[in-house]
Amino acid sequence: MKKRTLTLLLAVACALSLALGGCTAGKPTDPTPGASAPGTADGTSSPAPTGSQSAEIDQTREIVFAASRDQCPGEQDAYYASMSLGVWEPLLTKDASGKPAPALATAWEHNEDSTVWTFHLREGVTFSNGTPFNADIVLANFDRMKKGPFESSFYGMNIESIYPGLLSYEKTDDYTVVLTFEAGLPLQDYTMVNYGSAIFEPSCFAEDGNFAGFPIGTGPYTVTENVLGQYCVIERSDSYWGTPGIAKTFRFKVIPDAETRYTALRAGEVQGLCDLGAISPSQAAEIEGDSAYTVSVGDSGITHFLNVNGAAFPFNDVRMRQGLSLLIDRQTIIDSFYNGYGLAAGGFLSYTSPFFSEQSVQHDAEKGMDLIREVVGDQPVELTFLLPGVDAKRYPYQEEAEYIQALLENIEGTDIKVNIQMMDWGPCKDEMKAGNYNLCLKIQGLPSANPFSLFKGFMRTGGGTNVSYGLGYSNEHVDALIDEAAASLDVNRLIEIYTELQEISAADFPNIPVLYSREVVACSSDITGYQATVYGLTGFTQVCWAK
Amino acid sequence: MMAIVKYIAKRLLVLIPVLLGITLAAFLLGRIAPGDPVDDALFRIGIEFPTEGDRAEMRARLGLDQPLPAQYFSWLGRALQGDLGRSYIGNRDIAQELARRLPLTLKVSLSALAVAVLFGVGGGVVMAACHGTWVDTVLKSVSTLLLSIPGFWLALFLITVFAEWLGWLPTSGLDRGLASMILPAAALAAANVGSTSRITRGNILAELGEQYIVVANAKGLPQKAVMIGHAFRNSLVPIITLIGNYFGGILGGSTIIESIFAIPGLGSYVLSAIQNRDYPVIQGYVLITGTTFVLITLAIDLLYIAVNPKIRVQGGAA
Repeated sequence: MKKRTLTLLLAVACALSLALGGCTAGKPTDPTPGASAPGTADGTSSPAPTGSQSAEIDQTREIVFAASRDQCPGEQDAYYASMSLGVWEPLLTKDASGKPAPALATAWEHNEDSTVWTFHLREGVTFSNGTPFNADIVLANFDRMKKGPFESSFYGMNIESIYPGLLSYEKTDDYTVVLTFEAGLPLQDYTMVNYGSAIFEPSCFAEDGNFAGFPIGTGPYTVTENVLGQYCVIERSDSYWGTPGIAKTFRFKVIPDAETRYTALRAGEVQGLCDLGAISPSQAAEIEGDSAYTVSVGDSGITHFLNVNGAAFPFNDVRMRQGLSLLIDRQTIIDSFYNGYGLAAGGFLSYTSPFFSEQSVQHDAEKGMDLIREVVGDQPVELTFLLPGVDAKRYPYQEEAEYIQALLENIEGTDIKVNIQMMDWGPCKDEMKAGNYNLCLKIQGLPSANPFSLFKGFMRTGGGTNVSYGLGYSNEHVDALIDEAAASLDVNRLIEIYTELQEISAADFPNIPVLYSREVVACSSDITGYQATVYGLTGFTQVCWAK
Repeated sequence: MMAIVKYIAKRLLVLIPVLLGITLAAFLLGRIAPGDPVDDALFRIGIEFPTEGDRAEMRARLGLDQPLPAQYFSWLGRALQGDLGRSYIGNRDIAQELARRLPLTLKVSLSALAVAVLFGVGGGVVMAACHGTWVDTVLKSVSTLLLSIPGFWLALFLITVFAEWLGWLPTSGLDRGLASMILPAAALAAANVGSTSRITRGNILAELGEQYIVVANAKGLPQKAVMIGHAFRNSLVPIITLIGNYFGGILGGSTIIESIFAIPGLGSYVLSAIQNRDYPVIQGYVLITGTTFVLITLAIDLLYIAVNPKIRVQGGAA
């Protein structure tokens, strides 16, 4: 409210002066139906209305949510709608620990060398249009996927990335599908979770594999209206095979501007804010104690990194990277700039990954300064600190960068100057790739439950992101571990490798992890059952009117 | 009449080199600006950590491996046939997307134009009529205020007051008909209301000092007839220019206002295209908005002739 009051006061002051002048001159929750418990401000659960209570409440009234991006990007999007809407369901989803869990496939196994994967499908499931779900449907979805890759604003659908070296897909009976791969893929089920195995009723596909109208899925809701860029409406599917939703209709409005979105909630125009960046930390802090609203904090797969140019002085010296990591007080950053919505990050992999291995978060300013002094001495050092605009709009990067700038510039006995520059992500990446930078704050999500591509991209010599971010990181042992992981068929060995890579990252710092993001969403107390879940995925089956 | 037709034909012919110039400028600016659409395009098809091979393949797929002149003429050739191509990000038909978004921008622009004309010109006339009184002083102060306030700030202020506090109008979107238009139109028109009202006032006052006004007054014409029929009409040319240019400008979409009020019009489309270096979208946008702007300028010139016959006699149309 302070900001708004100040705004009004300023306006009144301006008006007066001009007029006078004129006179004189938690933990992640499975987003699948029935699996989630509704949340409250502190991330704990609060029950949806009980049977007798909900019977008295009119749940046919439309509930309106606002999001920064289109929840139904439409026919040209690989999935048409965000998975969180519950319109479609995948073969495999995630459990609370991020591991693959049954959805439309109830069980799966693979042969010894992981080249043949067999999926047993759920029986008795029908699509919203009444078509039964079976193996033929799954095969038709693979036929469609082969026409891709298909673009998406959520996760691209690329059969070569999700099912690398897929030789064949066939059914052995109406409810069993067998996938055969060129080479063993021991973590294939991790790659397939959620968006990796989305299933639609094939009649909703156009000839080119895009959608020819609304999507038809097996989920608890169906799309009934979609105006691109403005809003979409979903309605409860009464023939849903699982626990049906409580509220009948939801409308998801697109409101890109964070301030307008927040005002829409306060004005009662929308009942909730959802998806990535639903509400800023400062806005959430404003309404957290207000009984008219509920703020829910959940886990997020996003990690904030301080990327460094490891190919150039001074960050080509590991002591400089270690020193900076020790110098930064992560908890201060979280408390001061993120209103407490974050967790101090010690390691490379997000804590929501099933392969997460906890690395201790160390803060020792004196030791950090000593290490930095050892590297730079008293010579003048000018550092370029880049802030990509796209992330700086969503996160308090300017304040965070100024804090780090102050830390570096105030190390006694050194002459460090930090020049902060904000720019569009495109030019920023060009500068990073060309090595014309020293520091850059940037987020990184978990593209898949299988972290192999993350390790390879960031840590392997010549890895895609290692090169494009100009990290300049090279470690022969890391390269050998990643190459071994690429060929390994033993899941236990893979876990060992991923753990070792995390330990190396926490000592070598190819980039410096700062904090693990927390997903913050908010809703009016008029509704209940809404909570933040991993990466903005929010289930709506439990969301309903509270009064 | 023939002279006017010839004049229009001549202006339309001039449109061709103008459009070629602005599309070439947009093309070159896009290519010179740092940034590359390839990684974003790869990300959207599920390749988050691309190799150089992936990048080269995508570059070829988007036609970005071709020499710049080949890229430009290839685009121009298709554009002349009405095909603006598909966006790099989202793979949508650009012409269809522009056609889908144009009516939304048009709605807001026309509403803003109506506000600008009504309050800008109306306010200017009132100020001139009440010249030297407290009404004039107050309105002058208001117009200065409107000119001084940044549009985005005013937009947020209006949303806070009229949507959050009073609950009279929606914060955003277009799903409540006319009510949805009021705040965006007001925010978009505010600065123009300020400038138009001041110019209208100044021009009318200047005209009121002319000899023909003295003659009209001497003839005993009513004050209202002198003000509206003579002074106001003769002061219209610069006002039309100002409002016409303003309308041409906002027809391209106001990125800030569209973003704040969640209006998926042309402004938000091109802003996203610029951020993603989606070159075909930027070029298509420039072509369409450039054409529109030139046509509006032509319409303004024709309006001059209608409101001031002296221009027909002295100007190029005769």
